[in-house]
Amino acid sequence: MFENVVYVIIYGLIFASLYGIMTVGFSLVCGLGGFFDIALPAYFMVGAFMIVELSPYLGNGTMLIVAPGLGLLCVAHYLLFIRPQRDNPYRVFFATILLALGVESLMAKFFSSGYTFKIAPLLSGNVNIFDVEIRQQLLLGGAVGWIALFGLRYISHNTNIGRAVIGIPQSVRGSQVIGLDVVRIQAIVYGVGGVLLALGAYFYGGYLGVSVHMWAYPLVIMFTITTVGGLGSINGIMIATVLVGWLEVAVVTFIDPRIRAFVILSLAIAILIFRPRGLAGKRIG
Amino acid sequence: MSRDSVRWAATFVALTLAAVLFRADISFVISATFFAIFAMSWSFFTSYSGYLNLGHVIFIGMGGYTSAILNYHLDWPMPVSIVIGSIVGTLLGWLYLNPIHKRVSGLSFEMVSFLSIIALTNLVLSGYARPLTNGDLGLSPLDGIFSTLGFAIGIAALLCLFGYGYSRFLSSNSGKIVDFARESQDIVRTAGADPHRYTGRLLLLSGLLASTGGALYVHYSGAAVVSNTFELAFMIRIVVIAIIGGRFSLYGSIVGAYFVVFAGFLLKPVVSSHIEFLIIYGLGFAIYFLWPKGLISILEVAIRRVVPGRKSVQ
Amino acid sequence: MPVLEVRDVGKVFPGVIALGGVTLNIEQGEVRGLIGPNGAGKSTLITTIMGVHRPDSGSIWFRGEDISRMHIWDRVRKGLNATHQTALYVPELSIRRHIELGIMVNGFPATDVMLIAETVGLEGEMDENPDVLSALGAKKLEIAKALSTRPSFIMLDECFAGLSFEEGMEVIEIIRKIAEERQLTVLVVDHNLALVERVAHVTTVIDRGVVIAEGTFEELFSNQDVVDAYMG
Repeated sequence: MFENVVYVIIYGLIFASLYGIMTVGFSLVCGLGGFFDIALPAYFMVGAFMIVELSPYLGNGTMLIVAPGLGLLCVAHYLLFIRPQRDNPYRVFFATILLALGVESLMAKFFSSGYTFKIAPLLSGNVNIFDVEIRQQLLLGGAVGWIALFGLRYISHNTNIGRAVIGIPQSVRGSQVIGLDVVRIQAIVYGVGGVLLALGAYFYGGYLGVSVHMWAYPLVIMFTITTVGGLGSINGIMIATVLVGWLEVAVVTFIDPRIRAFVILSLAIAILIFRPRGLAGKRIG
Repeated sequence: MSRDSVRWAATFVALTLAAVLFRADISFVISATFFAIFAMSWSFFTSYSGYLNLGHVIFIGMGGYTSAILNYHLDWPMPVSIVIGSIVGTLLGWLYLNPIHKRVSGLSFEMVSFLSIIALTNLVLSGYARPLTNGDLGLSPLDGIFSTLGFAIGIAALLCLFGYGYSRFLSSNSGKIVDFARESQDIVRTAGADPHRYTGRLLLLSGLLASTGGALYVHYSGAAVVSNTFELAFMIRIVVIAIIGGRFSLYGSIVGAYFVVFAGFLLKPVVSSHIEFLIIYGLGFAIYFLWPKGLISILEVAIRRVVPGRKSVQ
Repeated sequence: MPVLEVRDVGKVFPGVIALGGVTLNIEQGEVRGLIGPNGAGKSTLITTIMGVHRPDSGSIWFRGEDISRMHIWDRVRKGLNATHQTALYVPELSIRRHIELGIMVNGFPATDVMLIAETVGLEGEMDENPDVLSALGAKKLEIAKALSTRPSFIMLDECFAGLSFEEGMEVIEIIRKIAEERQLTVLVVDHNLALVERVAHVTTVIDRGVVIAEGTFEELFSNQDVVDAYMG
């Protein structure tokens, strides 16, 4: 029992960090724009395939190409598909659902839908913490994720651009009045979000495998963390991602792995209905 | 005879003619009519209430699975299963979605309905529901409905009957109140009515057709599985059809369904199913941006050229 | 017995005490004025009486019944209604349909539509859409919409705002007409003291969420509290 509890705590924190960095871009663009961009998890899947395909040629340097590459892809996506209609959340929602399914169909044309485990880890051994075996690579992922999250939290509170990102969700109009360029800030968030998605894809895909369907579950996670944490709040993301990480690993360990999505979604639905603000941040819709 | 009854009778005649003409490929006609049923029932609630319902397949799935469970596990005769499935499916879906639409609106309602179908799919496939739903394998074989001309005409009649009923509702006092509720719930409140009472009726009628369609569809498909009931991809297909056809028109859904199903029919021999979906989603995307009112708006212009002075169809 | 009794009603919004215990009694057939400086709590009082907000403390009684926890639509059906500061309408739907709505919802005869239109003077514009209306026309539409539910008590929020003195006088004529012909009790809320004075029998002054005085205009402006509230 004690082992199981330690397992839940440690794995929960590791997945929380990965989910956190996967969600940052999604949550911040939702907070900035007041819309949901469903295409972002599809780019997460694209990023994982980029890593799989490029690593035979680039080896350990793969992420140096893929991370900025996915960042640029997300910026291009924003400029091309989102910016022209960013004032209409319904259009963004429709367009990005269609785009996500389109990307999945396109990827399915080139790659098989089964899971492949071809992402080579940086570290290959295991570590034993309180009798719980953990892969060093996963521990590294957790550490990188938490460093990134705390780094972003620092930036968002201590730099002008960071304060602008957090400030805009409170008042888009106010931001325009004081001369903030909302489009530029959104593009930057998409870029940073894309880089973090690539990082998440590297560790997540390396552990659980890569498939053209691997965007659906992360979408569930991103939604839940965003709604539980509250739109566009880094503190909210950090609290919510730990809750979701622990809840998920606890359900998998103590109840049944097949209902993890059901439990997590029920949490998101309950929050949306009974506390639309989330734990911190602003109301959706 | 009212204008609505003439229009829907004409639509029924046109659909019957299409079924007779394409009787060699009657399964495509039936498939198109099923999708028209799903898309029209979706757009009836979504377009006229102002709530974007991405959980419409809850009705289809509840109706379909209830009928399948009665038929598969309890050996109830198919017609009885379908009738009970339609009623139970409508009630279950309504009892779930109605309180939610009273509590949250806008993007929140959209999200809750969207997340609900992912959660339900997960539940149906889970070990807990397996004794009832058979998980991934689904409930199969069920007593089947065959692809006959008679069935094609039968479900076209169901579609047109509901289409007529929907049109009558929209032009009734309740429909006029819904027109206000869609734009401003406060206007309806200060006129002395609870707006959700009227949008709730819209949801119930929308659910009744979807659930009936769902119960028939699982027997027509021979199986109740998530891919023809609760699945997100199924929901999106319905939305894409309604958008392509024109979601602010009941007739638009019929146009959209026939267009998409026959486009698939033409593309099937040429491209793989992934590319077929890609083309259809791409079309949905393009039409949504170019003609936000869908293909029906183009058709209306053409009809107006032939019959001058004709008002737009609702 | 008063038609409307507001008993010690308090309402707090985050960081602001909007109503700090308001007590107000209005008698049948009265045309009451309600005045107060900006931010005094006039609109919060109206919206709380209508049921947009629930009072945090105190209670609201209408015709001897506690309505504090009733839905807006139930209050409307009991005979209470109000106009909105900014006209509330659907630009795509005609003026006729706006007036018909309350009549349809409550099952009143269709003949009410033209009677109301004539009362407020909108009979010539019934098939227009509301966005063509002038500021005065919009006030008339608000009154017409409120009348469509056959209220016995009506609250007119900022009913002279944005109008010239002559247009304000036209609204006063409508108020006098509906009060007389329909035996309506009316609460007139506005900044324009000159116009409120012309129509109200008695006026209540509210400042910082509490009633500071009540009486005729002459009585009010001999009261130092009222003078201070207006002079800041």
